[in-house]
Amino acid sequence: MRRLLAVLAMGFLLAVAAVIPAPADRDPDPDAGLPPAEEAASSGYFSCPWSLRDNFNGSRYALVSAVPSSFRVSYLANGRTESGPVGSVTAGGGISLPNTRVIGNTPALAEMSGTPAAAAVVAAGERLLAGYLCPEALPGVRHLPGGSTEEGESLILYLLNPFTEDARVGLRVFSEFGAEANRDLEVLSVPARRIRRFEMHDLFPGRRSLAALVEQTAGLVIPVMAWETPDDGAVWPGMSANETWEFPTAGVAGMEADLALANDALIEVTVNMEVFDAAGSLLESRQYVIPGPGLAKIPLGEVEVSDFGVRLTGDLPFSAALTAKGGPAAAAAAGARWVAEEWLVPGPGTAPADFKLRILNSGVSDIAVSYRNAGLGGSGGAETITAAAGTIVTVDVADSGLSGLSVSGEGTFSVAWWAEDDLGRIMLGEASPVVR
Amino acid sequence: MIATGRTGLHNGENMTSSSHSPRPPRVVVLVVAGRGTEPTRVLAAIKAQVYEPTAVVRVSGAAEANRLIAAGRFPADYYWLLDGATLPGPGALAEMVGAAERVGASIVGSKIRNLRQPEEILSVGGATDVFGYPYTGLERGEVDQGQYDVIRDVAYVEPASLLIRRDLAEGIGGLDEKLPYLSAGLDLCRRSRLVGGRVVIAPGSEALRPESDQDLPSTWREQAGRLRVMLKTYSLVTLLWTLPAFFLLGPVMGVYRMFNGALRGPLDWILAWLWNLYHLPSTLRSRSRAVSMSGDNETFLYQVKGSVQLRELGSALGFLLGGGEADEEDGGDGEDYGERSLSDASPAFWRRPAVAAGLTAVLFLLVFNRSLITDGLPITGFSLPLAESAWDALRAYAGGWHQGGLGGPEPMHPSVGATALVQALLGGRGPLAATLITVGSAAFGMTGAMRLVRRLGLGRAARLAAGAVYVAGAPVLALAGEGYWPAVAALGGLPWAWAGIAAPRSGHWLGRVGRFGRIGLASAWSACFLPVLALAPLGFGLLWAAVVRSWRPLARGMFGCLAAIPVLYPWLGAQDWRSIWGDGAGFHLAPAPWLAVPALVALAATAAMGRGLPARAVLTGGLLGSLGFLAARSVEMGAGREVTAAGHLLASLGLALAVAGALEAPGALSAAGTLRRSVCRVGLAAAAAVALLTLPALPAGRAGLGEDRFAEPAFVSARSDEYGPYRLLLAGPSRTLPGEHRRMEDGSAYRLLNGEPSYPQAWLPDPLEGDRELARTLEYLAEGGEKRPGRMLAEYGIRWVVFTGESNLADAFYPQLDMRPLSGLSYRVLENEAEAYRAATDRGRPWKPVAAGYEGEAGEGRVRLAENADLRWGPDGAHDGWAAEISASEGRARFGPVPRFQTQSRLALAAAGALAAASLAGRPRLARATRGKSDTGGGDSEGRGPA
Repeated sequence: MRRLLAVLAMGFLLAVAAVIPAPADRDPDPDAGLPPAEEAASSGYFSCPWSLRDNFNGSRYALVSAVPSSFRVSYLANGRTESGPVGSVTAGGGISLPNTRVIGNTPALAEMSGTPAAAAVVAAGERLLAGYLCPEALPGVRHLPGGSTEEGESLILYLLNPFTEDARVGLRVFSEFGAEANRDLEVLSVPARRIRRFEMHDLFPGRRSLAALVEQTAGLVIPVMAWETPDDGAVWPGMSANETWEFPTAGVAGMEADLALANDALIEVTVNMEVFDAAGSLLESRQYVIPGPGLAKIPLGEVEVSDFGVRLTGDLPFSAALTAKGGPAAAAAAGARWVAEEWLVPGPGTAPADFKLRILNSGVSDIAVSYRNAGLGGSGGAETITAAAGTIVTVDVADSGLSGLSVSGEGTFSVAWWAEDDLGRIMLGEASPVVR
Repeated sequence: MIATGRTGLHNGENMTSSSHSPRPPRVVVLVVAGRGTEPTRVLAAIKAQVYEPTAVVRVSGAAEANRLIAAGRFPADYYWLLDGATLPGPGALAEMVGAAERVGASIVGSKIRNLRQPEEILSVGGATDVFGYPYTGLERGEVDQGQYDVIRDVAYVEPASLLIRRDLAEGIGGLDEKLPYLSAGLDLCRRSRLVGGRVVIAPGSEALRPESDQDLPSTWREQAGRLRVMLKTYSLVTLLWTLPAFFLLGPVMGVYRMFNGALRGPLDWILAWLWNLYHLPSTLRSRSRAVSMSGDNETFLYQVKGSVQLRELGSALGFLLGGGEADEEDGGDGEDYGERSLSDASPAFWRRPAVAAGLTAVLFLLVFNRSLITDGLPITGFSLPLAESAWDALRAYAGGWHQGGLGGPEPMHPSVGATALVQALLGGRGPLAATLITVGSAAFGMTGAMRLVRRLGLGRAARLAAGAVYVAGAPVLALAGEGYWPAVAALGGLPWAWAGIAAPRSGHWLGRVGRFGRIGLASAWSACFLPVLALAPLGFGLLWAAVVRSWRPLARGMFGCLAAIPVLYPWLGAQDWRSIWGDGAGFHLAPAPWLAVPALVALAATAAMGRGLPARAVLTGGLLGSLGFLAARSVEMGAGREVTAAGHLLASLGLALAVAGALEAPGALSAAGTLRRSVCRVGLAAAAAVALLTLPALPAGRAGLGEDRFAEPAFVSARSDEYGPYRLLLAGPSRTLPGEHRRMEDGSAYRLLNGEPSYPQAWLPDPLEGDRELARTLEYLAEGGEKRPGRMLAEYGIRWVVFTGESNLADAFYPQLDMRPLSGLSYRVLENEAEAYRAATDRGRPWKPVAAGYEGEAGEGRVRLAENADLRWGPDGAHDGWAAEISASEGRARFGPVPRFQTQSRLALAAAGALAAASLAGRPRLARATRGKSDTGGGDSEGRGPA
C-alpha cells in the first residue's frame, strides 16, 4: 500500500513537472533593437567635416536651437579632440562662431544639449562663398551625387570619423560612363577621430557628372563633397536615399542648375519631377529614369521660369543634389527629404552677403508661414507670409550678424536658402526640419 | 637506587636451554619507576618469578639505569628492564631467558597485555616501516588465544618488559633517555641490530600493563623520537631519501589527523622537527658513537614496505568512500574506520574491493576536478574569485556595506560569509579556498552519497554509481553549466546530513551528540550556499521516519533544519518568503531524452518490481527526486534561483538513490519470478546507462563548470590608476554576465562590477535610488542618439563598458564620442574618457576606494561617493541626489556597520562553531599502533623525556 502511494505520488510529481513549460528567454532579440536612426529625433551632435580658413577665406559655425540649449564646439586634430567654444543659447536663438583654428581645413563637432537644433558652416572670402548643413552621423549608404571634375574644377570627398572607433567604408563611384572601377576605394578605413580626403578630380578626371556612394560597413563616417571652380566653391553633405526630395531653390535667378540623381539599387528608378513657381503656374511634370545602379542628370535650364522649386518623387529611394553655375558662381545643395511644419535654418546672416529664404509649399492648401531671426539674444520678431498651395515664396530675410532663422507654418512645407555676395558668388544652403 | 635482592638466587627452574652455560644466566632486574611511584605490586610480581633474578634494583629513569649498566656493579649476564607499572607474569623472566639462550637473542621482549582487560593483547613486538612507525598487525581489542605464541624476530619490542644481554647493554649504551616510550624501545632494538644483535619476542613471557590513550605513535614526541632514531642509526645514503620523505609525510598526516579531531596534527609535525633541531648536537654525538656492523640492510629485513601511515590514510579513505562495511550494530557513522586502521593498513589492503572502490572514487573525483585543481576555478556565472581580503569580506558581511553594484546596507548572501571564513582560515588564499571548497564539496558530495547509499543497505557498486550520479549527473551539471557555483559548493553537505539522519542510533551519548552536530554542520554548510536546502533535512527526516516507522529520523531532520537556520543570518532576517521563493532568475531543468528515458525506466522498473532494500532506496530517491524535479522546473510558477537550484540538487540526489537501488534490485530477487527478475534487469541496465552517462563530464575536468568567461577583466588592474578600481558596466545575454544582473525595460541584461569580478559582488542588493537612476540613464542611452554616454556614466564611477555578447544596449554605444574601445580583447570594451572617479570632492579631487570605504586628501568641503545614498556613511553623511555625500574633514569615508546585522553575524559564526565542535564529539581517537603507557625507557607523550 505504501509502495502504491509512493509510486502514485512520484508519478503525480513527475507529470506535473513534465507539463510545466520552459520559461521564455528574457533576453531580447538584439536585432530588434533601436529604431532606425533616420527616424530618431535629433541627437544634438552635428559633424562639420569641412571648415576652411586661409588667407583669403574664413568660416563660421552657425548654431540654432529651438529650445534653450548649451553648446560645445570641439575640433578634431591629429586623432584627438580639442575643446573649442562653449556656451548656451536661448529658445529659438542661435550663435555664430568663427573658426579660429590654424590655417587649413579643420573638422569640428558641434554639440547641443537641447534639441531640436541645427548647425551649419558658412565660408566666405575672396575666393568663395560656400556652406552646408552639418549632418548627424547616420548609418547606411550615404549618397553624394552632383559632383563634376571637368577642366579647372576640383572635387574633394571628405570622410570624417569623429568617433572613438575606427570605421570601415566602401566607396562606389558613378559617372556618366557608368560605374567607375577603383579597387583601392572598395574597402577603406577611416581611423577614429580622423578625416580622410579623396581628390576625386585626380582619381576620376574629366567627368561631367560624378556621384559617390559611401557604404558604411563598420562604424560611421560623415561625408561631405567640396567642389571648387576657379572663382567659387560649393560644399554639400552626404544623404541617404529617399523616395521624395524637394528643392525650393532649384531655380535661382542667374544660375543654370542641374539636378544630379543617384540610385544604388540594382533596378532602375523612375522619377517624376514637378516644378513650382511663385505664381502657382501649372507646369508640366516630367519623368526621368535613373539606371540601377547609376546616376542621371536633369538639366533645369529647360524650365521656362527663372525662380522655381522642384519636387522629385521616385518609385524607389534615390538621392538627389542640386548644382548650379552662373557667372563666377558655383553652388550646390542637398535637397529636403521631408516636408515639415517647423524648420531651423542655420547660416543666413553669418557672412557679408544677401540672404534669401525660399519656401516651397507643394501641398494643396495655402499655409501661413512665420519666420524669425535667430541670434544670440534669442529669436526676433516673427514675420508671417502666406505660401499658397503649389507655389514658392522667396523672402529677403537676414541682416548680417545673425546666426540663422527659425521657420514655422500651419502646414507642412520645405525650406532652403541662398546667399549672394558682392562678387556675384552664390551659395545654396539647406535647412533642418524639426522633428518633435 | 635501592637493591632489593641479592645475587645467586635460583629457585630451581629447569633451564633446559642452558646446556651451553655451565650455570644459569644471572639476571639483574632494573625496575624503572619514576619518583613518587611505588612499584610494590611489580616487586611482588618479581618475587613470584619462577626464574629468580640475581638482584632487583629500582631506578628512577633511563639515565640512572644507563649509569648502573655502564658501572657494571652487578655480576649479571642479562638485564631485565621492567616498567614500574608493568606486572610480569610468574614465568615472564624464565621465558625470556630461555628464549635468549635458545636462539641467541640479544634483546627479548615480552608479550604485553592489557592490565584492565587481561585477555586483550597490546603488543607482541613487530615490524616498522622505514620511518620507524610501528606495524603490529594487531586488531584493536584482539584477544590473546595463543595465536602469536612463537618466538620470532622483530624490528622492535616495547620497553615495558625487555631482557637485554649485559655485554650488549654496556656496548651500545643502554636506553636513550631523551626518547619517549616507543621510540626508546625502537632505538635500543635498532642499535642492537646494527651491531649484529638479534631482537626477538618471547610470547611465553607475558606482562600486563595499563593501556593509555597517550601512548600513540602519532604524538609529536614519538614523531621526534623516530626522527632521532633515523638520524642516529641510518646510513647517510638512506637518510638522503628518508628524511625528505619523512618531512613531506608529516604535513599530510598532520592534516589527516586534524580532520580526525586531533587539531594539533600540523603543529606536532613542526614541534617534532624543532625538537630535533634543538637536540641535533646530542643526536650527532650519539650517531658518531654508534657502531654499525651490519648496515641498513639488516634493519630493512624487519620493515614493511612503504609507509604504514600512508596505508592507514588510504585505508581510511577507502572506508570513507564507502568501501567498508557499515558497522550498523555499533551505530557507526564513520566512527569506526579509525579503529580498523590497524588491519586495513596491512600490506595487502590495496587489493581489497573496498580499497579498489575507494580508489576508483578518488580517481573519478581527481579527473572530474582535474582542471580546477591545476588551473583553479573558471570565472563564469557565480563562479567568481573570492574577495581579495577575506577579513574585509567578513567585515562587509557582518553588517557592512554590500559590495554589489552601487552598494547598500542589505546583508550579503550567507555563502559570502562562508567562503570568506574558509579563505580566512587558509590564510587569505582566495584561489586555494575556492578550489578547496569546490573540490572538497564534490568529494564530500560523492562520499556523502556513497555513505547515504550505504546507510540504505546497498552494496559497493551501487554506492560508487550513486556518488558519481550525484556529483556528475545531469541536474548538477546543468546548474554548473549555468555557472551557478554555490550549488556546486552546496553539494557536500546534503548527503551527509541525510546519511546522518538515516544512521542507526549510536550507543553512546557522546556519539549521539556528535551525530547531531554533524547533521547540523552538514545542513548548515549546504544551506549557506543554497539557503532553501535548510529544509532538506526536515523533508528527508519526515520521509525516512515514515519509511522506518521511527520518530528519530524526524527529530534528526528537524534538528538539521533548525541548526542550519541561525547560520543563515543576517541574510535570512532581510528576506521574506516571497523573496526566498521568487528572487533571482531561476533555472529550468530539461534533461535530454537520452538521459531522461533511462532514468525513468530505472525508476519505474525497480519501483514496480523491486523488493527489499533496493526497492526502498528507489522509492525514497524517486519521491525526493520527483519533488526536486518539480522544484527545478517551477520557474513558470514563480520560483526563483534558490528554489530551482535546490530542486536540481534534490533531483540529483534522488536520482542517485534511484540508480543505486536499481543497480542492486536484481540481486535482491533470489526467489522471484522470471518476469519480476527481467523487469529489474531492465532497470539495472537503465541505471547503469545513467551512471555511465556521467563519464562524458569527466574530460573537461571542471566539475561541470563552464569555460572561463571573465579572464578579460585583467585589463581593469592594468588600466587603473591610483584611484581605482573603477566600475565596469557589463551588458550582454544574461547567462554571460557574472553573478546577478538587472534588466532594462526591453529585457536587456546588465550589471555593475566594482573592479575585477569577485564573489562578494555576485549578488546584487535590492535596487536603491542610485540603481534606479542608473537604470533610467541606461534606458535613455538605449533610446539612441546620445553620443557621449561616457559623460553620463562617469557619474556612477563607470570607467568601462563591457559587452559580453549581443545586447540592445550595444547599439547605443556605437558609435560615440567619449568612450574609447580597447583593442586586443575578445569582448567589446569601451573605456570612458571622462573622469569616472567613484569618489571626488566638490573641488574635483578624487578619493581612492579602499577596503572599508574611501580615502583621500583631508580638507574642507564635501565628498560625493558614487554609492547609494545612506546616512550611515560618514563623517557627516548626507544625500547628494542618489549618491552618498560625506565631509572631507577626516580624509576618509567609512560606512558605520548595521549593529543588528553585526550581532547576527557573530551569533551565526558562534552557531557554526558550536556545530563544528559538536560534530567532533564521539570521533575516534587516532589509530593505535601500540598501546599503553610506561615509565620504562622513554618519557611520556607530553614530551618530558625518559624519567
